[in-house]
Amino acid sequence: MAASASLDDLRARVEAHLSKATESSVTVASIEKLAGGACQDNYVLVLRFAARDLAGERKLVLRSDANTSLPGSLDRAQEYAVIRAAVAAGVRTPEARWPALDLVRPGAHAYFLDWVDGEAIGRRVVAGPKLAAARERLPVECARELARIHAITPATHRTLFDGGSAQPWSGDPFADSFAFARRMLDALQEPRPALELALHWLRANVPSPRSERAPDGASSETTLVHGDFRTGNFMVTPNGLSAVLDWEFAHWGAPAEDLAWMCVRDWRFGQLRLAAGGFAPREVLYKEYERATGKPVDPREVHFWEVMGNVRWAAASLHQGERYMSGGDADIELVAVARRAIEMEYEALRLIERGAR
Amino acid sequence: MQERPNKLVLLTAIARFLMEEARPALSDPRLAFRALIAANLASVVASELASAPESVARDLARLRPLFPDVADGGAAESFETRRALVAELNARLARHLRDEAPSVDETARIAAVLRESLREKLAVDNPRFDTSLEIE
Repeated sequence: MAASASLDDLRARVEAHLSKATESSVTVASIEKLAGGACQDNYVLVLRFAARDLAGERKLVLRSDANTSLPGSLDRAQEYAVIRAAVAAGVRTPEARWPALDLVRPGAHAYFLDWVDGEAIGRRVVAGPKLAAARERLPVECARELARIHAITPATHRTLFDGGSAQPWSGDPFADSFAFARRMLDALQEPRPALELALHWLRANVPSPRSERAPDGASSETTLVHGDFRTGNFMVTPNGLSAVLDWEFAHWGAPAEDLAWMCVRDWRFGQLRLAAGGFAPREVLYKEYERATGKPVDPREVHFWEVMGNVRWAAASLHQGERYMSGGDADIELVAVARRAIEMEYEALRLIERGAR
Repeated sequence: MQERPNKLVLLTAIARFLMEEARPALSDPRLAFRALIAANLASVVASELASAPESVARDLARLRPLFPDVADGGAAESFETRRALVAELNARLARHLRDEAPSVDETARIAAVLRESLREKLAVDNPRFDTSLEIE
């Protein structure tokens, strides 16, 4: 009863907020809470608009800050700014609209996102028979989206993270990510020698700066990094990639970090030999990315970031278990994912042993 | 403490009940998925219980050569003693790697020990996880 009462309250607040924002009448035809999402309260709504440019029924998602957040994640106000920049840069991602404060909870930022159809469940994206033709197009389409994201830089968007960035930015993506991983490991409740070994290896194996290779002496390149670009976080229809989602880990960093994250083993959903997201060999993704950006991919740099990605995912999954054990969140999936940290630990050590490809 | 049925039998019974009776009866896909997760966790604990004495002994045998100062208690060591020692040596190893920047050669020796230990844990927790070096 309490849940539906608060949903009715929310319905009234949404109508008031949107009627003011669009300067015309808006009614909520339906509202429903979406499951999942550690960092957000998400709702799916059908809205009826009277405003001329919006007239009719539209399906939208309302994303609001949750009570808890993960280390390195943006709040909804910061995420809104990143999505607006991405949309303006031509990234295929749903438009974010009508930012709000205190709408779902006091102090929580929120905004509305256009609904996009498609499949985001990893196993279906990599193996669903209806998406076979779409999988052929994914390397090109992912490379194109990454190229558009990586065209956003501190030079073109100086103030993008003025609202705050949850991850440090000193201008050196390697030092920043190392410091961030160091903090994550130091916050763990149990010593993890495999992660310490991987971090020790990372510190000793920072790829040589681009300046040594580039004749113009440019320093290591910094761009917008999506931070969670991988199978499961973009929507796919039989026609191909329909939307890039989940911008909460966006930050200034090295573009190779996004390429590597797409290849992290856990995001292959059982298609181990298809390193690029479980749908293509990594060389195919690299080639398409080079074609889309005009910049060479350095496999040693991707290798560094893939080890780092496994370290961070291992540490993040252990933190999920801590959220259960601290009594904050009684979700059995949290303890199950923490028990899988040894998979990422092993993968980090395997990648170190195998070397770059 | 009751020994018949013992802990291993009980955990296996919980896993079987969740998997074979509860899960098929759940029409909510989210709940059915969570029943599967619960069944898997109970199975993992059962496997770990069965393999713990041997796996702790092997962990210790791999770790000892890295710590010449730790005396070998031989066959008289109890399971609890060995388990506490493995935890202590893992903590020492983590501190060493964090604070003392071991050489490339030493790091390679430690990495081989850790990979083997993780490989054994994965064989118990997730036997389908492919631990071969050249998966891709």
